[in-house]
Amino acid sequence: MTKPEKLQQNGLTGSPLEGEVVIDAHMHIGKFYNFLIPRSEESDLIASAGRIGIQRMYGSSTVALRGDAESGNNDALAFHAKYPDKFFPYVVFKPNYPEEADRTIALAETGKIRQFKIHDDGNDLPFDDKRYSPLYEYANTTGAVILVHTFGKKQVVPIMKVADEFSRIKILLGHSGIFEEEVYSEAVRKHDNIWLETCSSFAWYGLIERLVAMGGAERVLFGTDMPFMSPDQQIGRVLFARITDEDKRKVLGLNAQRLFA
Amino acid sequence: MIGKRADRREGEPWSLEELLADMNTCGISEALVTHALSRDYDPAAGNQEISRLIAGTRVLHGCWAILPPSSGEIPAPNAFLREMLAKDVVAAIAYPHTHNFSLSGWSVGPLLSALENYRIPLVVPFGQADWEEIERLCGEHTSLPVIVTGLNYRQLRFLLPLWEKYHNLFVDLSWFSIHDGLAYLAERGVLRQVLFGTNYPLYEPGAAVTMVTYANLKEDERRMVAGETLREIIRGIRRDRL
Repeated sequence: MTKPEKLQQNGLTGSPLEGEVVIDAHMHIGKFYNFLIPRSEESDLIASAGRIGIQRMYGSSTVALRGDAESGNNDALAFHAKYPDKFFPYVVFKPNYPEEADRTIALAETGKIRQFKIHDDGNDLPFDDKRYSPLYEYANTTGAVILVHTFGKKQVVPIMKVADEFSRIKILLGHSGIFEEEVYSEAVRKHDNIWLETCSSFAWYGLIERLVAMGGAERVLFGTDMPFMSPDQQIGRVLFARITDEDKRKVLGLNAQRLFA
Repeated sequence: MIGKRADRREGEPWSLEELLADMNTCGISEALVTHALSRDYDPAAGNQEISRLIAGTRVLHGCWAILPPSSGEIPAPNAFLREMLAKDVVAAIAYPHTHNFSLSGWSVGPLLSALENYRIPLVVPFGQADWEEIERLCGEHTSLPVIVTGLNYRQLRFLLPLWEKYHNLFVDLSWFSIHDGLAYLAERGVLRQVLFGTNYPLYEPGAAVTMVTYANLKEDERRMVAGETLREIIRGIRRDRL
């Protein structure tokens, strides 16, 4: 066997990424309706991150995504209060509860939270629907990050319109390249305020390399989607990618460090 | 899988040399491998091709596709299995959905019984058979190791009840990315049912490797998933019954 680069060696031995900046830009807290997540307690998430060497996790509540945003967002804030250096909440904004919009934004403002999550699961409203306007207007004034659930063109095409209109929002495309890779390439090439996030249960061969080629390693952020799936799988996609260790470091954490600063 | 595939995406490897290079990079010492022609063109042709390609590699072990013997496209069960074992083919694979046949007894029963008699494992890619068919397969052939590959991480509500009944049902790890899943399955006493697998070249083998190396397991458990259980299954093949 040829001598592997340092980060690949970590993958081979399963040793924590000590001395590296590793930030998970996409994870969750909570359970999910259509499958069993056996280990989803806060302590499980902290332990999984620790085995890999993930220092910071940015996550949203699945209760918030599926049902009650107010309750779920408060769960995320409580988790942050308990682990202030490790877990950082995305505030979930629900367009199909417009009566909650002001309260959701106030929650973020009070907590000085500068990252939001939007997801069309269940509500099926396109991301350029006017019911998202309160969020986009607020996020544009603060330069907030919005993590967007995507699964291809259906979500990426409308969010590109948002990126055009609200140039100060930092838009992070979740599950980048999972399907219809070409639209992710278009999004990141045409918009300076769009970044790509890596998590996907489909560990497509060569995808990390293609994401880096789309807009440069500076535009790709590591995410796990934990506890939906295993961070043990997601880290391997980056550690064994056919890119330099320097680029892997950008993907694993240096880019997120800048984006969330 | 190696060979040129109908659904290959640009940049995905397909050759023997690429497979061996990626295995080397990822620290994978041995692999069970089938040929794309067995799935995408003609099982009999693909079966012969995989054996021709891997002959002498030592680190690759063949896996042949099955069909209903009545169609006459593959030899009769005992002759088929004798040829398999003579060529170091240590597993069979079934694509009933893709190849338009039934996994029921009236279709492939004698072949399944022959595989069971020799303890040759049968691989069934997820989606090629539904859970009712898999349950029937495991129940009617309790000594046949059934390996469901490419199973996603959302299937525990099906698997856990099945594992209470059947110890001959195995899954591979390639898409089985359950959060802390291996430690959970170890705690449930069913870790032996999980085998390392990559679904190469569709997926990155390194992602499957780190599911094992970073898993919250004891070292003996890690070795079990990494390869010892599959080796045990292969060692269990009853060549003495030839």
